[in-house]
Amino acid sequence: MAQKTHIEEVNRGIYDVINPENHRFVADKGLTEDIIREISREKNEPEWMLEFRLKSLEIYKSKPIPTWGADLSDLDVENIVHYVKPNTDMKHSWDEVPEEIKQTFERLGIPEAERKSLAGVGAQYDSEVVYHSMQEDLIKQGVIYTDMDSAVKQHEDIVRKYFMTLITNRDHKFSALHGAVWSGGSFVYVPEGVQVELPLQSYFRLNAKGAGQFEHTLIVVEKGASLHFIEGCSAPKYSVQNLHAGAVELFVKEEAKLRYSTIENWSRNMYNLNTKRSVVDKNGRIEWVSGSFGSRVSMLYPMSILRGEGASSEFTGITFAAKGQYLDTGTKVVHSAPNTSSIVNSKSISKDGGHAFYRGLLRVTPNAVGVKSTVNCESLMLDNRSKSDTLPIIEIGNDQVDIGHEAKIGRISDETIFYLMSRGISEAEAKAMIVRGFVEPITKELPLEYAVELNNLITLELEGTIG
Amino acid sequence: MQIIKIDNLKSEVDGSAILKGIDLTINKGEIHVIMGPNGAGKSTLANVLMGHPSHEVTEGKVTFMGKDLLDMKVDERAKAGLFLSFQYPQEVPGVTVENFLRTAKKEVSGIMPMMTQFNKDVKKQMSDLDMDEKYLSRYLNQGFSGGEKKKNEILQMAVLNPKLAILDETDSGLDVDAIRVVYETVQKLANENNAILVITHYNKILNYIKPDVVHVLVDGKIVKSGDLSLAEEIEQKGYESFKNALDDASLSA
Amino acid sequence: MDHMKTQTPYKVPNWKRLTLPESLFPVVSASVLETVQPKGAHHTLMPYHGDEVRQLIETGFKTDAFSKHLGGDFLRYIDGESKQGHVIKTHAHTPDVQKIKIEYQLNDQTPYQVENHLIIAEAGTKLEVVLDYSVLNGTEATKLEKHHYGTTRVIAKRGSQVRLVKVQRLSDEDHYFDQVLCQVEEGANLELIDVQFGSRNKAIAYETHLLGRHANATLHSLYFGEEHAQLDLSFTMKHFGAQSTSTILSKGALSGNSKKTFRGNLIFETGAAQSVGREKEVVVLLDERVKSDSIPALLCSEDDVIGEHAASVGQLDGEKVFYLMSRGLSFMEAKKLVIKAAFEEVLMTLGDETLKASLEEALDWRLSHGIQ
Repeated sequence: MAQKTHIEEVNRGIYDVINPENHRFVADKGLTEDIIREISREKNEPEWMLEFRLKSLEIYKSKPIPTWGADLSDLDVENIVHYVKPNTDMKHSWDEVPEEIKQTFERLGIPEAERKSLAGVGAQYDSEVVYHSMQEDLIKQGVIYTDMDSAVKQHEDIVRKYFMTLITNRDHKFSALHGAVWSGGSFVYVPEGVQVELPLQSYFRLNAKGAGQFEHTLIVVEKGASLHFIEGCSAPKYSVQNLHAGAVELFVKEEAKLRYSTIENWSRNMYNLNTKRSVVDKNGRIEWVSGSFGSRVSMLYPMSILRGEGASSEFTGITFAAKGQYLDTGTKVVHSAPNTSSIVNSKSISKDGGHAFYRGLLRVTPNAVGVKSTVNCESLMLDNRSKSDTLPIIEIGNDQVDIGHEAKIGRISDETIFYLMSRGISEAEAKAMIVRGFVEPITKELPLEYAVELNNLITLELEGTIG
Repeated sequence: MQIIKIDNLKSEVDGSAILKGIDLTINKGEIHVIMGPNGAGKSTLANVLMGHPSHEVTEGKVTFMGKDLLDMKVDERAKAGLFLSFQYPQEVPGVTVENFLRTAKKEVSGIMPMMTQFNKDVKKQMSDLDMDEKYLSRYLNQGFSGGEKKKNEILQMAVLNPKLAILDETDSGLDVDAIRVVYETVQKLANENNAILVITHYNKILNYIKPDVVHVLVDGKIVKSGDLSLAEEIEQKGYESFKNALDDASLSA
Repeated sequence: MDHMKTQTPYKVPNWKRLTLPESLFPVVSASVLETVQPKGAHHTLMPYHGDEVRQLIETGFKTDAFSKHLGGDFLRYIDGESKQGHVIKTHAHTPDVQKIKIEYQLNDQTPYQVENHLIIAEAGTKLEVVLDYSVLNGTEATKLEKHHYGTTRVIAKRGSQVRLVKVQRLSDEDHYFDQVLCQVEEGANLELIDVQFGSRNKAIAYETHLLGRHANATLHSLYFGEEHAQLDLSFTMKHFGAQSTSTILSKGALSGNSKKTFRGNLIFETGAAQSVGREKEVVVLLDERVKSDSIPALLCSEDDVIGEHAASVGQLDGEKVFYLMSRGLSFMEAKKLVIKAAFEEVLMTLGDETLKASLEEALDWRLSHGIQ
């Protein structure tokens, strides 16, 4: 129940009183055992995976939809089945794709071939050529990099050891749903001591059924190895079925290092409830670089569990909430071993009535002595129609710690705009420069083409032309 | 040829009058210096000319390069060739000096400068100003000392090549060596096609630049204009005598 | 022992971070001993009961607008069972500071205190109220668990200056629940000082609404948690008026098996343009068994503000500690001295020498008692 425990702290009067009548049950008529069997059969999965899916379905049906955080009442839970069942005919045509989405593809310079895939129109994106050349180098090093569906069959022993052990089907309703209908995603296994020099970028998400909305990413970095993995892209992903309940499980072993960069930009009708979790062993290190844009509602709390002595985690993230968006994002760090350290740098921007909500958890267990942690949250509000909230929870269980937390909220100062304008920069461009400068700590952690994409995305967001 | 003509300029901040009727003309190739006691309105004049939103112009006209300055937005004034070296330059985190200089150059000159040549030029200017090249990749003014911020302002002036450069108390916060380097650069940048307006209450800058006209600004008005000798008069007698002149003038008006 | 068995019908809420005792909300038969020391001739001090008071509250105070207090259950219990309290009101147009000090003493004959206060500073006046809660215990055999429940409402009218000091010094088995709700009007200044030194379970909630333009409020909180103490401290500053300012500064130390939850809520409503709010929490931890939870929240619906919060747990000023240790103090001794200095900063401002001295004594005792 790791997701639920810390959230209800906003109003002691309501939330501190544990009241079981606040939950909502939803009957999902379409999602039956038969459908799940069909999915598994079509993928040709081993028996244990089918059993796992069925068990997950059972749990999914027994859990209520949570009522804290975002308003999920518009979530189209009943129709999920139509998008995950095999040979689904629920694909829309390119004509049905909203005009703003098409324009955004244009503005961001997305190649023709990719556009239809991103818009969920069902065309396959041909990434074979790029993929193959990268594969040769990886194979030489012993790195396994394939899509999740294939991995379940070809690398069964590894997958079975790790799959949904970090994010279990008992955690919450959507992780249970994920366990039942997951499809596609990336699997990476880096053997002991291997340093993967170039960042790996995920391609498989675009080919998965259900428009990659229940994709599962599983990465294992063995002792002393290192990897930089990039997922997502700045182009908006559009689908009529509006739930994204993916899962990302990252295992960082002793002395290993993993950097996981992601830009999530789902179209404005989507509910983004991705669960991301990492566990780090002795002296290992996890770095999260994260950009959250798009979607109507997001609830994203990448979590680092530092269970080995000397493990460390660093999180750098930006959340941009524009009109009609409620982005509830943050990070969770659990220090459960001594001498572990963490840094969190989270920035958010809200405009045009958007609502950015930072929810953070920093927990130090009684045995985790010698912990050092710094958390820095900065929020920029671009007008007074927007909202920006910060709700960090810091739970310390012993006295040998060094914890610092800072948060700031404010707007772009008039003086700074005046200064930039006095150098010939127009007001709109001055604001864009300041916002890009605000976001710079994140963009500089990304490879160049992603940084450029991110900056373009921000420019579009500021202009208000994104659909 | 006239660069700027200021006619009876009056302004207010939060309802209080600061500029009470400024008349000033600056021609091509000239260097003017404005001196005056604290609170006289020197910085206000600079900010009003640049278009600072807190100041409200209540009366008067300003013609800059033949156009109505007060009618223009702040960035339009910069594109028309006006430059202000701020007394307290703003910090802009996340924006590098290099990136900023190139963007500003593109906006003001109308063309995106060629990267390699531009970098060469900038580095040369920096070396003239005794500025370490490392500043190019640092965030604009963030963590800069007062002196470094001022040098950065002059660097921008050198890059943007304005028609009229207003230097607002550029010497404050600088040590003796820095003052020399900065004003030598300013003197070098001055030519027969542009003009410079130096605002200061530090007399010694006259060791480094040679103004054509010296004005004394007291209580929102220019009470006296003259040549270099006026500056010496201020040094000897202080501003008190000019304040009295203002009183006498208003009594007899 | 009879007292313990007579329970009222009020429901005991189920809190997540603090275990509320089963003996919560007892029946109260009498008021607790109080000593009132008023200074100044321009104020009215009268008991809190009757329709007049109800009227005063209904017209001048918006209780329903407050939400970050101890909760409806506590509000109802205190309103229903309250046996004592005062209405303190300055006289309009009087410039000299009115000072009222009330010392309460809970004992075995009257172990439960339920009180309601209403403090009103008329426009342009100055008022200082000090409320000091302590106990007088009998022998071990007759000793009873003491309970305090209190609601204080404060109205600082236009341009007034109000200071409210609350000091809690009950003994280690007692329980203290207190909430203070304040309305600060245009140009008024409110200073709140809260010192928590005793009791086993304590939950306090301060909620201040800065209603008018240029309203200002500062809150200084000091606490020392020992042994089995559980503290739940909630401080809220809600900005409505433009150019309003607020500061929350909470300093404390935890030793033994104590547990603390700090909730700082800095809220800016749309329209509170150019307001500035700052929230800071500093906790020093003195035993490996302590638990410290902090929830410094910043909720903002107005862009033209400055809102900042900072929390530091376990950190000490490295330079100070180094300096002290270079003079021969051990790390633990240096820690204690740093805590003393931090508390002194606030105690110095009390303006009441006897109170300050006894609090310093209490702090010294706690610092030397039970800390290895």
